[in-house]
Amino acid sequence: MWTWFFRLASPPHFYALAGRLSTWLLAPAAVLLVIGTWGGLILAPPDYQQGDAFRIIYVHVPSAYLSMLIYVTMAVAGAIGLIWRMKLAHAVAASCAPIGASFTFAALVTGAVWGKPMWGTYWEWDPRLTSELVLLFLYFGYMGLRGAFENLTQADRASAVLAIAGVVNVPIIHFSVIWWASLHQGPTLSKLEAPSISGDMLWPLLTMILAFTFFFLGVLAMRVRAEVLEREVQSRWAQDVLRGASPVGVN
Amino acid sequence: MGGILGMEGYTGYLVVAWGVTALVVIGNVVAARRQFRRTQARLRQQLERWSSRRPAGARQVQGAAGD
Repeated sequence: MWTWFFRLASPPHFYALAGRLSTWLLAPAAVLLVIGTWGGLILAPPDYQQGDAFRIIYVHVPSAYLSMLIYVTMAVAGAIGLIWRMKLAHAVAASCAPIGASFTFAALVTGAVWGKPMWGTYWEWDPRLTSELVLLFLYFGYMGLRGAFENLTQADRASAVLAIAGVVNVPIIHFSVIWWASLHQGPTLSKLEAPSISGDMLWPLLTMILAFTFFFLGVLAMRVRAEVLEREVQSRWAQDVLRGASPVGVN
Repeated sequence: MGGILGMEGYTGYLVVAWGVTALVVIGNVVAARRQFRRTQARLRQQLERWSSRRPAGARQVQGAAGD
């Protein structure tokens, strides 16, 4: 049962797989981004209260969703790296951080730009906004902590502990609008019994969320390849790849 | 809908929000590609330095693939 898992965890196998995956994930991401953009900007009708300003939802929600998804991925990878001492998991965690930080930044900026016409202000120390800002600082802290160590093993362990400790912020972000009185609107999609968005507005949003997810996985695959190569430079397969004489299955 | 350029006066907000997101998306691809190429170039130089330091006839590489 675990054979596939350990095979996947083999650096040369994963390096080759990630090379193929990055193309196969980024291509559908690009197509879905175009469809979602067309649906969100052109086909979806204006909101009855917010007018056309609501169209920011098509970049804000996927960015905010990715910011949390990437953090959880980073924490889970860090935990796997700590528990099973799997170097590949640490490479995945390290690769997640810059992608997650950039989408957290996008979520904050798009939220601020949406907040100005709707709330009359770019920023409010609201639980949802503040916890999302904390998430950005957690990403910065994670990257800063990694950079502070010269020893890669120590950097992996310390940053994994920070990622695991910081994951408590993710449910706080998600439930902040339920737990506390918030300027931010309540859940739109997670109310499975009755999503508070009509179907012709919903499908472009789901398309964009799917596009962003594919995009994250594609870029992650690209970044992990560089991390793996760096960590495996002492190995024969990595040296063969660098000399352009890669063994079968590694390209 | 009043068209992309006439969205009830919200065009500026939409352009900024979508523009920043587009920059983040494109920036992520560019940064990942650059990181991979730079890492490859640096590691190749490192390998060349290692090779030039090794005495003639010594084994070229050591270690096996795996975790």
